[in-house]
Amino acid sequence: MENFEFHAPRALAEVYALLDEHEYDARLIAGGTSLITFMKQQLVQPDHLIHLGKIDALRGVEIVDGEMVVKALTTYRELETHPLVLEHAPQIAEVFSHVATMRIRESATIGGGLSQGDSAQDGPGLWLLLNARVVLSSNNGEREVAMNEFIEDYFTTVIEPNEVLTEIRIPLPPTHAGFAYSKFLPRSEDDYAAVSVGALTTLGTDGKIASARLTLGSVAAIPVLVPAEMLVGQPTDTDLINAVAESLRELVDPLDDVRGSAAYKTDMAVVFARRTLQSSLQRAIR
Amino acid sequence: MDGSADQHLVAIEVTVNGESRQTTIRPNLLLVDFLRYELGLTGTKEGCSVGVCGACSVLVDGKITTSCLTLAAMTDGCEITTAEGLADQDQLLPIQQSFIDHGGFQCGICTSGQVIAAKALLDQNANPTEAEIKDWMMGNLCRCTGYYGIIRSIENAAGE
Repeated sequence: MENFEFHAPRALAEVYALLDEHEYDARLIAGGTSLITFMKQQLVQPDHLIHLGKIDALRGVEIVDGEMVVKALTTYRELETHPLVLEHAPQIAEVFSHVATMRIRESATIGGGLSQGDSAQDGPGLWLLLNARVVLSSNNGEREVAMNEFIEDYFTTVIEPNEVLTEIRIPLPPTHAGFAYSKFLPRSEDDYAAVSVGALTTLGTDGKIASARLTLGSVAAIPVLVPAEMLVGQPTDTDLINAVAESLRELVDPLDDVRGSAAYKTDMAVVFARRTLQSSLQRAIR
Repeated sequence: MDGSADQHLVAIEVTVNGESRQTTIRPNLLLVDFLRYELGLTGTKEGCSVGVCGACSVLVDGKITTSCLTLAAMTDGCEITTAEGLADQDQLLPIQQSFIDHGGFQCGICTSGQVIAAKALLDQNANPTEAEIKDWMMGNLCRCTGYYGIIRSIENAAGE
């Protein structure tokens, strides 16, 4: 790893000033579990590394106006165990309890993971499923970016060099909604998924599908939202579930790698999408 | 990068195994290398170097941490515990004695990380179920024991 100048500011204003000064020569670091591996491979070689660990304003989970606000330095482990998450959005805790290993979850942060812009991580697909918004802050104030516009390409986000990802805002899923999230893990339990699928559905009082949302991770440069509106008004055993799952073939573009060929991953995405939609519908309360 | 970058240094103050250390280091020094080469604490091993194997596990403010993916500079102000810091002089912790008594290791390369991980588990959950032990210890690989000895060691140390 190349050497660099290390900064450990204690306030966000100092971070903004450092970013304004060093722009593209600076990188932010939080838990480091992802960025350090990139730096070891010299894929990233910052001249200035700005450690956010001493900025307490970036810690915590709150409920504000029916939304969960997760500050950037919240670790995966904190999200997995936080009383507010378990009470208001246990789906999030469920997903993060199966990310990597305990040791990584104790360090990896929500903001750090999301800033990597890696659709193979679990966060991006989940945040897209839940229609979350990312808050980017700088000396110019703050702006909100919808999750479907946040990641532009492999490891590329809309974060400008002067901006810090300070929090994400997640609308709470309705308590009667059915949620399911599944990963195809052909190598090991703690690996990145070959395919990950999230589904969120609700039923009307007539038992018919009232809403359906389906997202995919690991199968394209960015997390994928699969249109599922055709399910609305249909019974929960509708054949259209197969049609929605089959339609994703046109939306994905997975890589051939050690977890499988692109063709195999596409087939598995269809299977996992169908099963995950069915699971979510079984969990939805009319 | 200009040549002066090599001159960058950063002052840190950490407590390692109860002893306060003030020192000046290069910012790109990994925590595992700081412990092994600067402090001579070679109980912490480096295995995979990419955060998968768990051999380099240490406790930072009580939390199990991957020292090969952590910069020493990031731990400024923190309390670090390595395998050397577990025993009180010659008095082993119950979890250490249990690894000896129940076949928790063979070659020993992963053992420091295993014991550190087990200590972190028992600190949070004094009586874990077998499923909880397996889930927690998933990130510490062992190529000798088949894991049964490790699980048995933790089960027998639980509650002590």
